[in-house]
Amino acid sequence: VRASRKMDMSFHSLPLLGIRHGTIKCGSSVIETPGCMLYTRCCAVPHLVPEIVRELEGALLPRLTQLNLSTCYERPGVDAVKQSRRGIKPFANLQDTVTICAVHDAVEPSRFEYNEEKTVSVWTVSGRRKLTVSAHMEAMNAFQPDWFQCLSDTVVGSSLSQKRIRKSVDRTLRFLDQTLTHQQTEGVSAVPFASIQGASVLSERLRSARETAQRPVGGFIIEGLDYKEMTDSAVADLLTKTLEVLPPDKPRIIFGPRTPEQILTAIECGVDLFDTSYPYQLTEKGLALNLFANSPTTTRVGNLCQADASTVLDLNDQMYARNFQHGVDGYSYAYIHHLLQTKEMLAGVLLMKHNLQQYLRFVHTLRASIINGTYDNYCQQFRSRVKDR
Amino acid sequence: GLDGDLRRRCADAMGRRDMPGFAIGGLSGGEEKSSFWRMVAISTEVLPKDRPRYLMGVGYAVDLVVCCALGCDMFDCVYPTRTARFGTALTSVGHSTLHLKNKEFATDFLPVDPNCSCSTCQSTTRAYLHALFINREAVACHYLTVHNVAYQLELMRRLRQSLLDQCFPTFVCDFMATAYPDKDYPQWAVDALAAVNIYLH
Repeated sequence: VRASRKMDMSFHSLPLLGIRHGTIKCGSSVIETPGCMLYTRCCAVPHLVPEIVRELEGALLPRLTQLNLSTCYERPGVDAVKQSRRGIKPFANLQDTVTICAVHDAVEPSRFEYNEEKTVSVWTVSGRRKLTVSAHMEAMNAFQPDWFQCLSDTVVGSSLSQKRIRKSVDRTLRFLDQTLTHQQTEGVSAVPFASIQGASVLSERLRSARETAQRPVGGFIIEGLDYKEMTDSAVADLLTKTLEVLPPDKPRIIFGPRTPEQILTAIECGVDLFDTSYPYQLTEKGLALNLFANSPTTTRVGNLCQADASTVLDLNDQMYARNFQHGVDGYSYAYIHHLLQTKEMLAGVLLMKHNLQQYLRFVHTLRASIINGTYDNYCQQFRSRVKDR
Repeated sequence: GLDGDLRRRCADAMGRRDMPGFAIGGLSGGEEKSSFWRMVAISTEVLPKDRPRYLMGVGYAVDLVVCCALGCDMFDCVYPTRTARFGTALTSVGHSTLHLKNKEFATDFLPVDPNCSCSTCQSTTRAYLHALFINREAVACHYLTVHNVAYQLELMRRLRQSLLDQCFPTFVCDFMATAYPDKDYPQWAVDALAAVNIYLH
């Protein structure tokens, strides 16, 4: 018996700032916004077995888990999950969580050049797989996530032609409508989430948003924002104008690695949910988040001591070899540096746990400051700290 | 090395020193098994009985059981964790191995070892671990390492209990029968156990 997937949501806006906070109730889970969903690969938090995930502060643990087809479509794959007959949650031991199935891996750049009129290419461990709406819905039927991202043609980049951007908006809408039709006929009970396209062209963004807003979806995923090429204020401008056109009573989501500063900006524009792909990306590079004013003094060559208040620390750097400050989950920077040098898997475990904890606490604290009216102070302090490096 | 006289002399000389314990080395490099067990036996025969004997770099389940019979107390080995990282599960069912990356496990919804109470076996299936391994996720290694270590510890726990319960020879026979259901016991194991009066049927 499938538990009701009806979403019971309420969002509130801070009167002067227009910053949102809200709750989404789904079954017995309550998702607080602004908030994060747990980025997973093949349905697991990277590097962390459940016992280690449970060591994270309970209040910070997201109630929403993001799966993606890049790491699920090949294996376990539709057939194996279908054979288990109970969907991907029991298959992958995902308990007490709402699941949202994204199309692509959040950390991978979109390779939309391979998308066609009727197919979107997804990159799995075995290579490229072309998905039609049918194939996608077959997967959703087998996986039975609570929510899912509809198949979409996400384009991103500064050298896109107007024609390609327009096509992306048109195709994404077409896929959306086909998905909704499929849903009706096949009775897939997962809640569809639509993707807003338009790259960096405002008119296309607004067209995509207005059209999508008319469809009966559970929420919106703002895709294709070019954080690499566009300035922060340009992204903020585009986001604000796009979100103004979307209904305020449905969640707005951004997938992909977002720095804490980018999260602040996005929240101010009206975004509700992010994923934890950024802490994962840092972990893979041997970098540690340092968001709570832990200033490790570091000794450089020539005995020059220098306070390092960066929000991201590169623990591969030789300067951490003798830094015995216990900055990473109770372990010293020197130890993590050593683990990285000797290529021990434990480096990934400790860094992932640490980075996840930092990121989740950041968003949690951020939300608390919105609710108790100290947001202005909080973000000003954070932004000025990021500036003085 | 594999020279009985030298080993005897070495063990004898070492044993005269009042040490907290003794490590038996030089036997973890894949030596021919009939020499291996004889060198272990010489070492344990000569070393003091009231000190722990730590056999370094051993090993596989059969080797552990036989060497316990020969008088060793402690072991270390990379095998359970290394083989876990490569996707091989150790299971008490037949004391055999499962290569979880094989396609046959893609739809095997049993836990790795139905008899095991480790966190991996309580929460995952062979099918899920197979998927994790094929996707090359590090966490697959961690899940399986937890299980393989639990397997080793449980084996030793049951072996120790059988010593306390005074039914060690029965334990050994049952273990060997499970590991070799066709009774094709390796000759070296038969000989080694016979040397300590445990006879496999």
